[in-house]
Order: sequence, then structure tokens, then C-alpha cells
Amino acid sequence: MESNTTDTKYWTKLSEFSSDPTFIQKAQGEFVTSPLQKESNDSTSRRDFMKLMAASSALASSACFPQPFEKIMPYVNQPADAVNGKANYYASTCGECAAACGILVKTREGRPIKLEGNPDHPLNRGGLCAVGQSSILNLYDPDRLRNPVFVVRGSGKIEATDWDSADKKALEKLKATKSGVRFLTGPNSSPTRNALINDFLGAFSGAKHVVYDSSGVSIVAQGQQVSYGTAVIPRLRFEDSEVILSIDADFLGTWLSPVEFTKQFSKNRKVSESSPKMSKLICFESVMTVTGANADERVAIRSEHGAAIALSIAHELITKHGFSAPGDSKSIVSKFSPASVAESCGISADAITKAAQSLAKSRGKSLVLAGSTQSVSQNGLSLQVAANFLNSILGNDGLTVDSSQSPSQQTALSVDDIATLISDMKAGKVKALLIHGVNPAYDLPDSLGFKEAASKVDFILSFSDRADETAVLADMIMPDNHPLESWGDAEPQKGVFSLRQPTIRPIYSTRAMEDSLISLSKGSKLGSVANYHDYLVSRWQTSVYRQAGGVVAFDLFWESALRDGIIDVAGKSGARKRMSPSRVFKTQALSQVSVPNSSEKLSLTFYQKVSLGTGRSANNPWLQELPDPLTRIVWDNYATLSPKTAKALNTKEGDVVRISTDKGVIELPIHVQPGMHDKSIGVALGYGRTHAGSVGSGVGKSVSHLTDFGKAGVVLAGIPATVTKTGAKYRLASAQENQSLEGRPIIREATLGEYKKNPKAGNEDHAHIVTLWPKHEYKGYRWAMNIDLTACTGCQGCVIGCQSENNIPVVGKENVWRGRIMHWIRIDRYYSGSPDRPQVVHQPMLCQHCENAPCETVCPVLATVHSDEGLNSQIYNRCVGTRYCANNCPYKVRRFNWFDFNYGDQMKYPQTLAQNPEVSVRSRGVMEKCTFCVQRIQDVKNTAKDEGRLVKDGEIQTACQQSCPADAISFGNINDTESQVAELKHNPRSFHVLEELNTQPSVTYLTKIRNVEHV
Amino acid sequence: MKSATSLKLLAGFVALVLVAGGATFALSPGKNQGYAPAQPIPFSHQRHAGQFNIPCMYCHTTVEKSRHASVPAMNVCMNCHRLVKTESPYIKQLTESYDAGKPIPWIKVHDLPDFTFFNHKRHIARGVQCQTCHGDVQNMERIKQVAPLTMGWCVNCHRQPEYNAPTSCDTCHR
Repeated sequence: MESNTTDTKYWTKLSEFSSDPTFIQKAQGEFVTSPLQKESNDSTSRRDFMKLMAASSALASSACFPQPFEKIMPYVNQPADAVNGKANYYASTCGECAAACGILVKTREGRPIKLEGNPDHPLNRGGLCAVGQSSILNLYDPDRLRNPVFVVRGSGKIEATDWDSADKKALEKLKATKSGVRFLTGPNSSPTRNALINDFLGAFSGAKHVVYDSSGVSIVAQGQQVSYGTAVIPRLRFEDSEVILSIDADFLGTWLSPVEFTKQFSKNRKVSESSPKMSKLICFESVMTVTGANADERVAIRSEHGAAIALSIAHELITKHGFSAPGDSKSIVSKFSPASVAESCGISADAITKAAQSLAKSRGKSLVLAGSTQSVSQNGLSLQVAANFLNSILGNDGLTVDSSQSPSQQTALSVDDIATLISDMKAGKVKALLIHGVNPAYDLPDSLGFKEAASKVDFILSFSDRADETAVLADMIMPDNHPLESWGDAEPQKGVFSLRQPTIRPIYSTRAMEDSLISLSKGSKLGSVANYHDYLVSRWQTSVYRQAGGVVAFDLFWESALRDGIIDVAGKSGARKRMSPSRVFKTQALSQVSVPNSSEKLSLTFYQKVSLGTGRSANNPWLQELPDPLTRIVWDNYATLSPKTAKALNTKEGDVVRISTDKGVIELPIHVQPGMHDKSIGVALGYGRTHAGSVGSGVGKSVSHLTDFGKAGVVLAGIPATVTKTGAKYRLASAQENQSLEGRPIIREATLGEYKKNPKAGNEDHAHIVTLWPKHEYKGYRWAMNIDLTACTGCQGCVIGCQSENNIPVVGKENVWRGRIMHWIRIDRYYSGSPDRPQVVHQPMLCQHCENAPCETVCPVLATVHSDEGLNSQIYNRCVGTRYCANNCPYKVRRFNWFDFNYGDQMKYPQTLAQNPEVSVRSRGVMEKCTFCVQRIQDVKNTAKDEGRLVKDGEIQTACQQSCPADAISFGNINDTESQVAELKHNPRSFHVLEELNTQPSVTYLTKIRNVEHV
Repeated sequence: MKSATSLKLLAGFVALVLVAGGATFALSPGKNQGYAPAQPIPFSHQRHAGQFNIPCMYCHTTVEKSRHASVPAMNVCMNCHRLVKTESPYIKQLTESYDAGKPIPWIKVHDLPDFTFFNHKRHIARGVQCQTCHGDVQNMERIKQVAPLTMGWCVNCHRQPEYNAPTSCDTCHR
């Protein structure tokens, strides 16, 4: 065997980097504890276990005989297109954020069971993020309100009522209020909903629609207003960008429209021998995000320094690279020399000059971005201006930055509105307040005093789906439908009309917010509309139908819109590709940017996690148990500190620290995060909900007492803070606790320069092993998968896709730290290099379906066997739970059901309705793992058999592959030499993980290529 | 002393045999063969499929389209019984239930375990007769499980070379 060691040393956590003995000890056991083992924190003693066993054997014997008797309930009247056992798909629009991705809703026997991206949608093109996919579980959330309720002011107690009484009381209250009506919503890209709200408010004099955005996106529009005079969120063309500079814009994870951006971005990250080119991503960021993890160059900064760094790059471009400076900008920029900025920001000047060099080569073909919550410091607006300035001098405006052809419509423009609203409320000017889609009592800074202001409003009506923090301050809650139960539309970008249709009748006695508004408009013009569906149809007839050209009759047009889910006017007219004129940058905007001074204090920055975002879906167990792409921690928020700072504070992972700011104090456990700036602390938003529901309430800590309201909106970053150690400890649950590379070449990577010289770079050494095993014979298909490590961003979309498809249970925090997380696909995160400036690789790891599978040879009952199509099948009904297979699996992808996770508290009715009837629901004592979505394989094979043909390449899509917004996964029949997987297998970049073990996996990986050279 | 010990041993042995035997019987598959529960309405296949020669697929409409054969929707019953035999107490029961929008809770006879994914469509497409697995339904007054429906019984056919049927575990288990 040839040597397989590579030069790069990879590590999963700092204790491994420093070869800490406790890490090595932990890495020995896959499942940390057995129920027989007494642990300090573990309350299950051996005696308890015997009791458990006795109880379960009693249960088991009582279930043996006679066979449980089941009923068949037939349809009374069978709907025309309903076939038992066949899924129906409906095109609709995701309702989780204003990006409004197109979705396909898979329904079985009338209930939605899975959400997938709509491949015909021009923006998300078949991809869907983890949050979007998991919203199926929100539909079946047992904690949603099941009917309208009255709320007792002060106590927050709720009393159930019916719709007639609720309508009657609300109408009375609204009739009494002629002026002083306010409607508070979140950013909303639905033109029809906005029109309806306007119509509704038209009946009241002086009524206002207030938009409040907790994700910090509105600062982009404000920055555009200051820089160019128009408040707009431009469309960003990643496809046309060779160099992308992101300053605290987590566009691959949480910012604006991550699926759309990932689709575009990954297109330029597919390296092949015929086109050895890829875009370059440079990231300056204050917390470690998915975007930073994918950056070719990443620099850790303090959030408030972003603007100065951007201007120092501009300084370089103007003075060294001959870019012309408009107006008096040259003199303003001259204050920001890289050397001085680098010194006061605590970064290297080299990083700035290199970024400028890279940008200078791509005039008009680069893109500068700024804007996630972590950028929204006091200097947040300056950062926007500086980023716009860079785009203007680089000639990107109009080319990669499109502000007029098809700009984003996710607008939340009037920022001071929320502050005005609250002061109006306090002054008693607001008589009636209607709230939809936002939770200001949870996520606005406490210092704004929303709760106190709410007590001064005569009548508050909430449309929340649950009695959340804000809704309990109201007088009445009229629960809104889930988007999957509702009609609606969205125009996330100008000229992209996405339609939403209900795919199930409301599960509870809820009503769409729009229908509630119509019932509350009795007597006015809006009141004469029958329902929101009619309103939507008539508005589409007068607006969208006309814009689309109106060639066919409207009925046919509407039918096609329902079928396709999308009317793409911008695509048809060519607006999406067209250049817009470059705008004149107002150089006086630059005068706002100040040179930062170095501060002794740490900088506290709040960020959004890929899973929870701002905390809207905190009651979704899939999201709570979705590992963070970087920290891999679940069920908590924590303070991330750089290794150096943690050491200076004499703290270790899990030590609780006290963070004090001007506003208040918070105590959080720390996570030592390589790649943080030494003066920066990151804390995730979205935790510490008190009224989320049985899953989300009380998980993590809320930060609203630390945020503040500045001149450009809520300040979520760069807050001066001091940190002290408390001495307390807290156990965080990480999904990547117990695996170690042990120095083996699990990851293979090369730089783009190396790859150009040698396509096998980083992948030269392969094991040559003699085998004693007879070869399997495949007469027909042989399924295989390929994963491109360069394309994979680590977004975790596939994890939820798999969870939804394969009925994978949630196990809870304690079980996660015992190593019992059940995900069939996990995205391992490896660091390389130094802890100060680590490089990151994400590696999706799932059952490798080995040819010589180590699990198969050790199963005493033949519960895991090789199929005649190359699958390593796991037969649950045969499994007796010895766990020998998991012990023998070198990839650690087999998951064991320690308990009945799918039946207990983790999965309550009606959440069970979200399960896929094509996949067994596993019970306690059974091993499980990735099946390559065998149910999907069989479904397609059935269709092919019916049509008397073979399965076509690309026809079968596994759930992970389907959901991947980066198109990193390919799947197919490797016996077909023409197939994509067969071709990729022979790619010089292709390798197997742990190939020296001669397991011969069916999953191949392509080497990670980084574009790090400065040419 | 000695006899007491051997008595104890014997008793222990008998208990063990009883428990093991009981468990073997309880866990043995195929004990549903012959199961013929009374249905909420004594629907006669003998009358419909036998005497009147109504094709199976007139009612079990999805058997060619899906893995389920499906018990017919009640509107299929009403196609005829709006006019036919309306005076019968059972048809009255059916009509009342239909008009009230309430499904008839039929008792499932051929019940495979939840971890088994049998596909009707594939078998029909290969020309397997309904009677091969379900017995002479057209002669049954009350539906009865004739075949054992055990895995061994399934695999017996699947292993016959002339059928060329798959025998991979994941054909039926997933």
C-alpha cells in the first residue's frame, strides 16, 4: 500500500488540534454511553434500566397475539385525481421568508408530507433550504392555536371562542375606532396581500401599514437610498461574478435569498478539466458563517470595522490600480490607507491589498456585498455605503448589481416606522393595532418598550398562529392558516410571480389572515368580496395577466399558473439578463464613514443561525436538532470566542461567561470558535423564546435586552462588551463530538493552481489492495453517488430533506450528547491550518454502500445484506439490535434506535401525519441508516417498467440530491457508462473515503479545490 | 432432598418449555390464515363477483395504478345501490352512511405488517390472478384469508426461475 498521508493536518475541534487526551478518550466510543453505564450527569442507573426492560418485555409480550385488528376507511366520494398510494404534487410558494422560493408540495391521501424546491422556479430552481423544507412540520405543530381566542389583558390568559363571536367583537372594536389604526407586519413580498391590507386600511382615516424587519435586511435599501437616491434591494448576479467580496453578508446561509444565491454561486464553482476556472470568494466577517467557511480567503474582523475595511480596499483600487474616483471621494478615501486601517482593526494589511488586487482584475465582473444581521452595527449604514461605493468604482453597478430590471421586492423600507409606531402607541395615538407575521415583544430591543406601549393601545388584534410573546399582549388572536393551507402569491423579484395554493384544508379551526380582514371589512368595498381566493384571482387578472402579455384566455392562464406555480415575466421579457444603466454614486454619502479607533472592549455581535434564523420557527424540532454548519451544536445558543480570547479568560468549551454591555448582562456557555476575531463575540439570535410552544420555549437565551435602536434601525452587532468567567459549567450538545480522523486522509484538497497543472493534485496516492472477497455480480443496475466537495457549501438542506423523506426522528438534547442523533446524512466539518485562520471543509457523510461492506459480514441475523443492485440494505424487521454493524462501520453512519423516538414526546400527533408512508417507521432496538432512498429508486423503476424501458440517467433523485441548492450530489446507475456518476467516478478528482480499508464504497467524492492563488 | 431438587429442575424445565413454546407460537407468522371477521355490512363477494360476475377492478379501481388495490369509495357502491335493492336494511344502512358523509369502517382482512411494502400493480402487470393470493373470492360469502401471506409463502413464488422475480430484501422491506 502506498502512503496515504497528506501534508495538511485536519482537525474537528481544538482539543484534537492539540491532541488533548480527553478528546482521544472520547473518540474511542461512537455511542458515548450505554444505558447500563452510570454517568455523572446520567440519571439512568442499572436498576432503572432493569425496570425499563421489565416494562418493555411486558409490553412486547402483550403485543404478540392476536394480530392487531385494523380498519379500512374508504373515501365517501373519491376525488377525481386521488389514487391511494400515489403521491400528488402541487406547485406552491414557501411562506417561511420573504425570498418566497417556489415549492412542490408532495401530498399523499390528501395530506402534505414533503416540500421540495420547484425546478421550474427561476430563482431557487429546485433547491430549498433547511428552514423551508422543515416548514412541513410547522403545519402539523400541535402547539398551534386550534380556534380564535380572547386574551385577558395583563394576565395573558386565553379563552377559546368561535369565529362568529370573535368577528362580532373585533368589528365592534374597529367600528369604534375611526382613526389611529395601525397594521404591523414583517417584510412581505406578496403584492396581493399588500394591496388587500391597503384596501382594508382605506376604510380608516390616517391608518398606516408599518413594516418591521427583524433580520436586518432593510439596511440594504437604506444604504442604496443614501448612495444612489433610491431605496431598492438590487438583484445580485453571482453567475456573472468572477470575484465576490462579502463583508458580513452570509449570502450562502441566511441573507436575503440564500437558495437562489447558492444556485448561482455554485455554478461558477464547478471545476472541470475542460474549464479549470472558478470564481473567487473573499470574506471579511465577524462571526464564522457558512459563507466564510466557503471563502477562498477569509479574514476575521470586528463587525463595526467593515466600512473602514471596504474603504481601504477602495483606497488601494484608486491609488494602486488606477480606478477613477468620482467627485471628491479620493480625498475622503485617502484617510483609509490599508496600513492604518489594518492596524486599528487588528487585521493584516496584506489581506486588504490582496482583496484589492483580486477585485482590480475583474472590472464589472465582481460583486461586493454587505448586510446580514452581523453587519448591523452603529456603522452598518456606512458599511452599506462603502460597499456600494466599491461596486460603483469597480463598474459593477448595472452589471452584477441590478437595481432596476428585476430588483428584489423583499422590501422593508421605512425603518424608523417601528420607532414612530411605538412612540405613537405610548402617546396614546394608536387606538387599534393589528399584528401579523412579526413578534416584536420577543425580538425588538427591550429598551424600545414595546410591552409598555402595547398596554396603552385600546384594541390589539393578533393574527399569530400561536399565543406567542406578542400575541399574549393582545385582546384577541385570530389564528392565521399555515401557508400550506392558504391562497397567496409573492413577487420576490420584480416580474417573478409565484402563486401559493392550499394543499390541505385547515387542520384546526383557523382562518387566513386575509380572509379575516375581509370579514372585518363588512360595510366597506372590501367586505363585498366573497373571500381572499376571489380577491387574488381578480387581482391577478388585472395585474399579472396583463403584465404577462395575456395571449391566452385568463382561465387558461390561471390554470397554468396553478399548475406551474410561477409566472416568470422577468425571464420572458429578458429583464433578468438585461444590463441596467449604472447609477451616479453620491459621494457625500461617504462622509458618514469614520476611521475606527481601536477599543479595549470586545465587540458583541448577534447573528442568525442557518436553522433558527430570528427564532420564528423555534418550535420546530427538526430545526432545533439541526446541527449548526460550523459549531455542529444543537438545541442551544452560546457565545463564540476565539481560542486566544478564551485562553486569556482562562475558559474552556462549555464554561459559562458573563457578558456585560451598557444595556445589560447575559450569561452564556462559550464555544471556542476557531476563526473568530480576538476582539469579537458572537451570539445567535432566535433562542430563549418563552411562548414558542412545548419544543421551543426555554431553549437557549434571548438577547433582546442587549440590543438597541440606532439611527439606522435595530443595532445587532458591534456592541461594546466585557466578558468575565463565572466558574459555572454548561454542557453543550454537539453532533460531531465523537469522531476523530486519527490522521487519515478523509479529506483531499488542492488549490486551483495545482489543479490546473495536475488534475489529480491532492489525490495522487491511491491504495492498491489485493482482495480475497469474490466480486458481486450486477446484471442490471448498480446505484452509486458522487459528491463534489468543492460545490458543497455545508448549508444543511440535505439533512432536513433526508429527515423528511425517511421519517428520521428527533432525539432531544441529552441523547445528542450521548451520541444518539439519528440523521442518516450528516455534514462533517473539518478545519485545517491554524486555529486563528482555519480553512474549513464540509463533507456530507452517509452510508457509503460499500462493495465489501464491513457491516454485512458481522451481522449475526443477516439483517444487513447486499442487494443485487449494489445497495447495502438494512432490514429492520430482521434486526435484533446487536449493534455489531455500527461497531464495524468505519464511516460511523449507522444509527441505533435506543428508544421509541418516533412515538414518544418528540413526535406528537398530528406531527405523525408528516411521515412518509413509503418508509417504515422504526421502533426501539433497531439499527438504521441511509438507504439511497430505495423507495424513490423503486418508484422510478416501477414507472420505467410500466413504460417498458430502463431507468434514464438523472431520473432518480435521492432526497438529499434533490434538495441540494449547490447541485453537489449526483446519483445514478454506474453500470451505464454514459451516466453522470460513471463519468464522475473516473474524474481525476474522484476518491473514496478510507479506500485503504478496501471497503470499495459506492459513494465517491471529488476533491475540494480552493481558488487561493494570486495571479 | 434429591427428589425435591429434581422436581424443582423438572418444574423449571417445564416452565421453560411452556414459555419458549408459547413465545414460538405467539411469534410464529401465518396464524391469520383463515381469518374471516364479520364486517359492518355483510357484503357478499359471492353475490357481486360470483353471481353477477362484476369484474374485480370495477370496484378495486387502483389495483392497476398503485401498490394498493383499495377498498372502493362509497360512491362506487352508490352507483348501483341508489336504484338496486334499496329496500334492504343493509343498503339503507349504506345509504344513510353515505348521505351523512361517513365512511363504513371495514375490517381489514389481508393485513401485511407495516414493514412490508407489497405492490399490487406489479403483480397485476405480470398477469398474476387476484385468486392466486386471495383465494376464490367469487365464491366467498364473507371474505376470508386463504393464503398464509407469510414471507416464506411470498418467496416461494419469487424464487421460481420462470417468474424472474426479484428476491432482494429491499424489494419489499425499506
